[in-house]
Amino acid sequence: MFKTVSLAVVSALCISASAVAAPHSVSGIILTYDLNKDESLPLEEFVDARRARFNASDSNKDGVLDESEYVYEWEGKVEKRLAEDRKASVKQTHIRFHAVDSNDDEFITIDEVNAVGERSFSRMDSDNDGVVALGDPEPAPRRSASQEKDDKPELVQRPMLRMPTSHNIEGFVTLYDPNGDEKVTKEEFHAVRKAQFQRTDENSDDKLTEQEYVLEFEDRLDAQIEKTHEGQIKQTYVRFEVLDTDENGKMTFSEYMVSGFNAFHRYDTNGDGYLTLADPAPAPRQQEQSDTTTAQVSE
Amino acid sequence: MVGRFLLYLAVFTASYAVKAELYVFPAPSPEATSHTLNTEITLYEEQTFSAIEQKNIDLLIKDTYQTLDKSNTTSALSEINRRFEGTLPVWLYSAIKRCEDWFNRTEGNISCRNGELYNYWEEYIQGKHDLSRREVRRLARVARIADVNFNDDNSVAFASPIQWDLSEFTASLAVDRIAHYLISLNIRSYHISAQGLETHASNQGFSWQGSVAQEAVTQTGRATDAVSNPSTIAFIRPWQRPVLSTSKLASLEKGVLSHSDGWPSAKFQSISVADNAFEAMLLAHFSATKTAQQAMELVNANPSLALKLVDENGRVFTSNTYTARTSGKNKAEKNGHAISIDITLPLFDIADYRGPYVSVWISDEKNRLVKSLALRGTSERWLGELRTWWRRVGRKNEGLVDGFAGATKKNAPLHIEWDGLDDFGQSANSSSLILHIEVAREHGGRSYEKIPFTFDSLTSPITVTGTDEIASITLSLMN
Repeated sequence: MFKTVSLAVVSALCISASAVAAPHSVSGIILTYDLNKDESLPLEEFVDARRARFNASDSNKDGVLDESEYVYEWEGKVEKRLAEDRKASVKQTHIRFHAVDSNDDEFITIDEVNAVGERSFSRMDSDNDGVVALGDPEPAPRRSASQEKDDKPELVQRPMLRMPTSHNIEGFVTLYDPNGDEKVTKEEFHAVRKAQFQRTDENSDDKLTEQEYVLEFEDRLDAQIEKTHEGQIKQTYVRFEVLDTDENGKMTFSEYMVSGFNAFHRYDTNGDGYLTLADPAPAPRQQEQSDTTTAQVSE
Repeated sequence: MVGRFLLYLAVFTASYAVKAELYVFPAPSPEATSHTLNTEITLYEEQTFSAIEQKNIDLLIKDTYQTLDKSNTTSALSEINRRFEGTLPVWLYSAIKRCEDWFNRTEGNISCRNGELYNYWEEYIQGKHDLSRREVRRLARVARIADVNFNDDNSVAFASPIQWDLSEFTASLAVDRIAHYLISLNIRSYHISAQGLETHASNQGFSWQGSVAQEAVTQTGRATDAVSNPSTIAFIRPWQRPVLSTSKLASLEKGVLSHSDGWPSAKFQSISVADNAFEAMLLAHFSATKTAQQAMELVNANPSLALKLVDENGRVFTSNTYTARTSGKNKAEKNGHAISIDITLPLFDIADYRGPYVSVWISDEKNRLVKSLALRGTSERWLGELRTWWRRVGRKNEGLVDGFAGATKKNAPLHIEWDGLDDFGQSANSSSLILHIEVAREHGGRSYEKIPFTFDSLTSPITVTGTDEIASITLSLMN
């Protein structure tokens, strides 16, 4: 009986979470709504900016947003951000090519791939048992270049386009565990990377040019963009239905602001009515995790 | 319908007028007239065309357009594309073969194989399907890796993903066929212009200034860009150019289609010089879509080519011989000053040796950037380690890094020729200049040298021995 109730609570949480249309980070919200660019967002400025955005989305000027106006506005933003993320990602791929090409001869050989692979495998295998398995300890976080240069936090929009990562245990195992036993041996790891090398090597001359390397990555990137775009749009329709609380197919400004205020208060962790980078990060959302975790939270 | 005009052209290198005759050949089909210009031929030295010669030229132009028109299903090109083999007219066989030479030199970044890709774009413009970036990349790839065999009897056989398509180069091939015909008539002094292409040959050594030059004048405010020796200039300004246009429709997407990934790109306005129109046009296409480094490396390795690129901010990049090729004089005479800079870098015998990041630039006395000369390395993380350069130049000029930065190259020496023009193609205002060289290496050190100089002080070369990451720098005036 208790279990049923808590699950109902959980699903309600899920819906309200997906109803937050605003960006999912304090940086993102400040970048989107801080019109005077002073890196501080008081509540009034936030409401004004949301009002302006609401009015801009209301293309037939009837004072409410219908579903198509709402989705259209968001789709434009999604496409712009995906295009920016794509550009940054491709640029990074060129840089990665040169990082892997350790002898600077403009080709990547399987030996160079393996040299990088050895390093990343041993980084992930922090308990040194020769296997990376689900449940292994996560590797120590890397210090990024920006951290080295300057410890001041910066306003950064979190990328909307995210590729599968091999930098945490779960991502690593997902990418390199073809037989599905939830662990990756070094042999499996190198075999997967070798297969990828051969797929990338268009003309089968056992070395990768920068072009081959980048084109192969762009294929995966564009597949991910299509998936992200589709997911974002689908979610926007769901969000409209949730926010349109009276279900009349028309979103009023106050319905629109429900999600806005949710986001504002969630990230204004020190409760001073201003969103700044000084606000400590809120507790991570729990509903995205497994059922057991969520059940504990709802108790 | 051939128009004929008598002209007196002002000549720039000599102060007398030369009698010249202009013939205008209209574009051959209604389809072509919607987006192509007439072909104009100027003859110098009292030469004229007979009526039959004009008719022959008209026929050459018509034949070129009709052969390369994809909607003409009975053309020789359509025929081999249907059968994946066959024999071609000599001019077309030669064009495809030259295109394949470029294909091999540029890893497929210049290609005449992309008929399927262009068809896909055309269907997209007609609203027959959506545009998928993965699909265009796939179409470019399957054509790129397909096999092709050329035989000495002008026949060719190839795998089906290849569909030869030279329609973007129609005007240039017509110009080349005309030039070939003029030479057979023993006409050695002529000028042909068509659709952004200017071909010039002369045995008199005088210069001319065509429509490309006017464009360049408005860009730079200088009367440059005239060509003396037999050369062709091709010109592409990609930003407002539809990727593909047919008689009825043009794509909303702007730019030049990259032959390697099928996607439009518009990095540079490109002015390319080659000894024939077709290759000038191939180079113009290629360089509009690539980084300045990639294009300049290709051009500087090939004496028959020269190139000038202008980015959206008006920043100019020229190949080593561009100024000399387009001025009719050498660089020093042209601009008053031209210098060469040679930099050697030490080799460190260590296991994790990575090629250093290098920047070479010229500033005025107040450290204001005059000209960026070289930039090795693309990662902003490491470019930031070129601290002097980053502080004064890099962080303010994002476009410069994107379009200009190239790969590191171990300790390969740098040879740079500078024509005395600044980043925007103007003569350097200041006579007191400073050459800056900064080198930074992962796991290594950082070295920075600056050498103040004036052109007058360079009568004998300046050589400086560097420290740590820089071995030596030599600065000398070019003859």
